[in-house]
Amino acid sequence: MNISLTKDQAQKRADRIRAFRDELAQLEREQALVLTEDQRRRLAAHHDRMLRDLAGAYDVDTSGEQKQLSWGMRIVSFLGAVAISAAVFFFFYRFWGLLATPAQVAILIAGPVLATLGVELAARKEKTLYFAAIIGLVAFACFVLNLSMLGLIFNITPTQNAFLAWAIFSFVIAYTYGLRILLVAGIISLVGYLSATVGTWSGCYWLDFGERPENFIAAGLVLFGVSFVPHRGYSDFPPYYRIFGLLAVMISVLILSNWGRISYLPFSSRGVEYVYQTAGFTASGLVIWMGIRRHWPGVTNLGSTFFTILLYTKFFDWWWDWMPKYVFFLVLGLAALLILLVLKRLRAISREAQP
Amino acid sequence: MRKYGTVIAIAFLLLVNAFVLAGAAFNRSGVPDAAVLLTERELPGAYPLYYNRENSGVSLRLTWSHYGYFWNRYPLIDFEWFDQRKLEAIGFDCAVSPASTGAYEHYAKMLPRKAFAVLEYEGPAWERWRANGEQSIAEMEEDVKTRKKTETDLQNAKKWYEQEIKAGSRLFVVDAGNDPALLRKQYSDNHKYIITPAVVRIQHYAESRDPSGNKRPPRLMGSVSDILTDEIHVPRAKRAALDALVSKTGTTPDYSYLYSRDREPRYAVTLQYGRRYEPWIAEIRPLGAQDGK
Repeated sequence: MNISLTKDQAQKRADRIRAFRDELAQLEREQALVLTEDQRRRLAAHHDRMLRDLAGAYDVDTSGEQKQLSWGMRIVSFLGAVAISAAVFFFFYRFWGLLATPAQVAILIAGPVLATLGVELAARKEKTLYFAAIIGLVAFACFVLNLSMLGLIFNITPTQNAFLAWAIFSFVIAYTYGLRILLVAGIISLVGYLSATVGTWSGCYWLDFGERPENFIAAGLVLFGVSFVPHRGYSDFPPYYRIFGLLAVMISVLILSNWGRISYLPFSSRGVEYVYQTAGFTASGLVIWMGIRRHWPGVTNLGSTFFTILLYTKFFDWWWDWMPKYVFFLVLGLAALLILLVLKRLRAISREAQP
Repeated sequence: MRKYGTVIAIAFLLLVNAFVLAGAAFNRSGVPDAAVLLTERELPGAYPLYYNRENSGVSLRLTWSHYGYFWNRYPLIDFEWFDQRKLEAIGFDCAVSPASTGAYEHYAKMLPRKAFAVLEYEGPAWERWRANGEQSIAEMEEDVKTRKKTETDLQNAKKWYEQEIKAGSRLFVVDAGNDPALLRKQYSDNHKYIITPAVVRIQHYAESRDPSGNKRPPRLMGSVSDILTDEIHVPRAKRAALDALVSKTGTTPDYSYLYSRDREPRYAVTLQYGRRYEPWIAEIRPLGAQDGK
């Protein structure tokens, strides 16, 4: 196999081969397509060789059972990484007060450097990169500890720039090794930096950036924009930018549609809530449409979920106090059925457009 | 990317750390902006020290706030200087008249801003605080005679006041602004005045009456809500006096000192502020009876 693929592309190819084999077997049972013995033998040999090469080069899952195990390994590696990171934090807190300042600084700098070297070592030894991901997250945690503790030791006035440093480090590791967990860490750090910086443009102290959800809308839109930047060799990265960007926007809109008091807009609380309710429904609809159009299932699901949550919160606002409870929940159920019918219709339209 | 990624990551780590350490070194270079001799009254332990097995670090907390009123008569901390003019100078938009409808909601929505606060140590603000306290007690004694207050109220008030005189912080916020160099020119005694980054807020006050009973129109007033570096790390090399306190007395310098007020301060701290207005502890020494602090 000479073509260079990303792991994501290789996995998709393996999934297509498996699905093709299942469908071919079904077609043969239905007598719709029957291959000759020679064709069947050559096809099987080709696919077997393909799957062997893909598994060897990219460590992809070639069966349903392997896929389930891989999911389990991902969850376990994440939990392991979190636990080890917590151990690093608490270990340092336990003993740092007994050390002189130069020793504290040396250990704080050495931690993330050694962990980064550990990521490289793990990546060379084991191509599944599960261990590299664990060590990568520990390296990120060490860097967070590094800057936090330096701030504490030297009584440095806190700024949001630490978020930017953490984001840059995470992105470098993520793009070097294709580690999505570090990409997420970088995205979250970047959201923190962008939101805090946007907050300071209005003059407020950066730590209060959470008191104005519009700060997160700006950060979310930037992330969503980044997802359109070509990611040759990292085809599984743009969905993370899209989803987290949309999450930042949608959650902020949801909050502001219920608590208008914390908006930048110079209207009354009620006025702000009307603005964001309208924006929320419009945006959810646009997101669903975009997800269908671009074949981004995660985006479509996100839009549908937020549309439903927004609708339910408005129902609660309007009717909970005076409507009999059984009628209220009946209305919620009927609304869900209506949304289901609409989505079914949209799916049918999509199917007609792309048979 | 794979070829150079590790090198880039490590180089970035080292660069960021060099930048942070260079900033800390710059702060401590040259002549300190302030060098004030404080005591445990102003710098108690930040949290229960030596009891927290999970954290062996030691920090002291700069204590300066005296919010509230002396038995509803005189303000404990005076922010009358933080008027609308000063709020506008710091950058708050005060265009909406305090007397207009909706002014309270408008200003309640405003977020705090970062500025620089001036902390005065054992100066005129402290003397005014003491005078207000004595005046309040004298007025309360009259109230007891006219049965507006009970004898118990008076004794509690006296006890609280005496504890504050003996063990309360003598640091008061006396000014705020955006330009620390200008503030230092106005408050040039750097053994008595600390210029430090702070968070300031705007507050709307409805029509009211002052202690003399005169009517006060709706107004805007600022306040300093936080000092940004009020938790100050104690390096290992400076902990000897605190360690000796633990071993000698069996009690630890912790934040509960603020609440018990039942003892004299046990140590003095030379606190210095540098070119970035960030503090560090230069020295901690034990206080004896002869220090009279």
